[in-house]
Amino acid sequence: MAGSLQVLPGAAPRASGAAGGAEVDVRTVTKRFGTVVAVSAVSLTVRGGEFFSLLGPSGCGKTTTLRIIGGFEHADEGDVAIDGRLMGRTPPNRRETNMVFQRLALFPHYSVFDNIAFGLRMKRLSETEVRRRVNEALELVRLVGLEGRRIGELSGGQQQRVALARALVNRPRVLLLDEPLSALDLKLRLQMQDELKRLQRELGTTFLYVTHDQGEALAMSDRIGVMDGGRLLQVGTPMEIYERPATRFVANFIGDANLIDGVVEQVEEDLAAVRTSAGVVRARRQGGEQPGEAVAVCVRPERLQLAPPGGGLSALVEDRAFSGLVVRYRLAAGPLRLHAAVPYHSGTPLWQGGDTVTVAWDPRQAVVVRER
Amino acid sequence: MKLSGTAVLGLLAPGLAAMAVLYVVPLGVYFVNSFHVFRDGRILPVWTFQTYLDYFTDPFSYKVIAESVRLSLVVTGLALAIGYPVAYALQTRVRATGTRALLALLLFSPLLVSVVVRTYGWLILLASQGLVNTALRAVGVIDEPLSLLFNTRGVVISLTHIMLPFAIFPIYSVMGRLDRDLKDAATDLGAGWWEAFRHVTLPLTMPGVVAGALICFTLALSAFVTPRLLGGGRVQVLPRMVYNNTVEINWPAGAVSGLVLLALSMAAVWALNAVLRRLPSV
Amino acid sequence: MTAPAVQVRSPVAVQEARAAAVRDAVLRTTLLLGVGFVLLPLAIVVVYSFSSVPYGVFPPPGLSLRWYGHLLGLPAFRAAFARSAVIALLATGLALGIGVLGALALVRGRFRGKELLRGFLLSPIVMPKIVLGVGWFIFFARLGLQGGILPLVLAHSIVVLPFVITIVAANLVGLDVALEEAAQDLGASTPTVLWRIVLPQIRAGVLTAGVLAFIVSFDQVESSIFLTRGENNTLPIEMFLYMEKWQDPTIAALSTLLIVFAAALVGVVLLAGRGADVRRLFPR
Repeated sequence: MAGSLQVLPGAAPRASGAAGGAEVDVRTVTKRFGTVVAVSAVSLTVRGGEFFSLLGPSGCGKTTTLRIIGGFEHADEGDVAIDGRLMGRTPPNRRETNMVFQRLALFPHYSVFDNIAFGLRMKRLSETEVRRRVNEALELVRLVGLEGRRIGELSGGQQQRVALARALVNRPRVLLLDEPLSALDLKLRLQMQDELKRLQRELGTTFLYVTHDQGEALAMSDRIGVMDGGRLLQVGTPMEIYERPATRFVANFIGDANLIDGVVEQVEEDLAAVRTSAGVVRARRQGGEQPGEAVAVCVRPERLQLAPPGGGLSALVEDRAFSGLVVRYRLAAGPLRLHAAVPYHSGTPLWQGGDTVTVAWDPRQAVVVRER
Repeated sequence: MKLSGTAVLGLLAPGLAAMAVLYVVPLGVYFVNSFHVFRDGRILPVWTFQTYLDYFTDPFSYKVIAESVRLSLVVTGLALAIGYPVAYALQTRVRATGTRALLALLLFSPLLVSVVVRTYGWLILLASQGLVNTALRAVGVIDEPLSLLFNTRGVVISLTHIMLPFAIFPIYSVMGRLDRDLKDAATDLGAGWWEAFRHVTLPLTMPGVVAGALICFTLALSAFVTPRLLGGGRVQVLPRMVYNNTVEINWPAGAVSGLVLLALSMAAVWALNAVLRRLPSV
Repeated sequence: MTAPAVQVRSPVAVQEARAAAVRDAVLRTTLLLGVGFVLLPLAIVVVYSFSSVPYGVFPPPGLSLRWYGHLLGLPAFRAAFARSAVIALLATGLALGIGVLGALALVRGRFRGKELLRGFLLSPIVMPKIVLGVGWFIFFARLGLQGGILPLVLAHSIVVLPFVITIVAANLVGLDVALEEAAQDLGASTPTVLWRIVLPQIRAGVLTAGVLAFIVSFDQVESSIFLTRGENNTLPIEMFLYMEKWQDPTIAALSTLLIVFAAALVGVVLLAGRGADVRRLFPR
């Protein structure tokens, strides 16, 4: 694969000559461990040069899927193609992927330099070339000067960057990242998220990122694949997934959601009317809803508007919590429980427990969500 | 729970007292005896280095020391050579934890039976009409039975068997603590199986190997029953000397040879511990 | 969707897959051979105990129980067995008493020289047993305490003490300190906390340590050979002396019974559930 320099809009071309990211095509992959189906008929295509995240709770199969792509597990059914080439049972050392492991797996008996140089030495590059590329990698992750240190002497964030450098120095077409930031504290994590995004933009390598933190996925990814129970539920840009969650699970998992159960009464052009315990409610359709179908209406807390009582949906304020940016209210409208998050500035009317309010929202800000 | 100074003292008192009276004092008496002299069937309670002198100017002493050290080195080497692959196989090729626990128990089980019983087993196995010779002749490897008893060969085989669990378990234990991801990382970075083993597994399991070597060497050095039962008169090791001297009431000579044995053990412990400290730990 | 996929399986990859399979087979065989080697002497002893002839021949020409019968007619072995069992029991009790307390101090106490002390208390393991044996011989001779089982009980308790301390300490390390602190918060004194909170939690570990100590004491030879003089032989020594003279399968029959005995003891430990991992017995 000749190295062609891919210049992305807004990014400076890198002298390292990254060959651009490869496309990863997961084709109906299924993987079982004993009686447990860890990955169930998952199909997705990660575009070359994309920052793609696999998002889901623990045990949803995202890490297993990642490991199958990396060659550490073999799919029971289905296959993975990288740039059109089927991988089959090709072992990891023969794939153009490199992985950053969750617990980093840095070699404790090697220095920073030797850790990063490992892959290059496996390729039998000359020591001059090795030194050149390791230094390049150190610059990339901003660890110049620390190459002589032992792994145990580094901080968590520094170790993180060594793991990154060790993988990237080999110029993989696909970089696999298995929840690499989960061990870091919040501030460091946010910092590293920025760095990862910057790196990905500069290098143009395909990044395949696994995480259970939806905020992280939303912030960094070009596209996200949401998984649960071994199944891929939805693939889309962060905006798409947030605005138009395909299933109840996705709606709940990404951001906060009010989910009002109901039955479809009427279907219009882009709205649907749903009969719920709070009366008939309208929301945006996603397509394919049928009258009589059991669905849920998803309204994000920040979209709820509270007004003094009088007409419309009446609710009792149960609790209030202040968190700087917003005031969160827990409301009870008959059998329904709703959460509202009202942006706060001084002067905003505040309600308290026991007050009755009217709850309303713009139908276009709510969306109909199916079960599965 | 934090223990007050008095509490700690109270808890340690019985142990310290027992060790002082039943361990330090007997060793001290032993040490003192090395300075006495044995003449005309009696022990003279004088203070002299004479017995030491007699010992270290006797070429036989060096022969025995050499034999002991050589035997222990060979046995340790064999036990580690067999033990490492067995530990590796147990750790990496047995998935089911139940089976693994069972195999570990089986590997450990000989230690539950006296060394007398185990040595006796080898006595039967290595006899000229025993299983080993019969099997080798049946397969056609040899024509005449091998002489494996009452010489060094039988002792080596039997001692290796006795030491094997002590070699396997430290190595197995260190392997268990090894981060699985390290091997995956090496493979991810292009290493084949042998390279991953050489660069990652082997260096990081060295502490287990050294610990195993330490235990095997010191135990082999002080082995008495096996060389005595399987070696006939031909295997002269230090513990044998100690025994012979002691039953002949030549306690001073027994003490000196015992102290030489002790010194060799301590030297091995000290040397291997120094190596251990230098190794990167997992 | 991309262009039709091309399956690339280079010859090198195929070769590697085959090498991996060979490796697998070799390792599994090594493991089985290793286990076989380890069990071989014990297995042969059991087989041999049923041999119909008194000399060492494989395979035995016939099967018979005569050696078990012969064994029953040797009162010396019966007495030696009982003696060994009593000594082991007493030595274990002593070692448990001293060892549990010592382990508590080592794990929960904070004082200078702790590591040195630990090394000292565990040192009998690296001492050549024959040296200790002679040392005890001279020591007890000077005290006029030869013969009987007292010297043996005392000597064995020192031999097994490191095992007890190691296992009990390993169990203590895993405990949740918060439980003890809660007890203290509720008014319990230190002895009460140790007796009512700590010890019950390490019951299984203490049992494991006790069984291991019993077995180690029972099997002692070098440390005890100078402390016995015919009328107070322990079983292994009795066997050792018999073997120097005769090598008929009577010893095999006795050994088989001892193997069953040891297996039964291990069964007790396993049934008791979570004993400390006996592998922690080995340093580092």
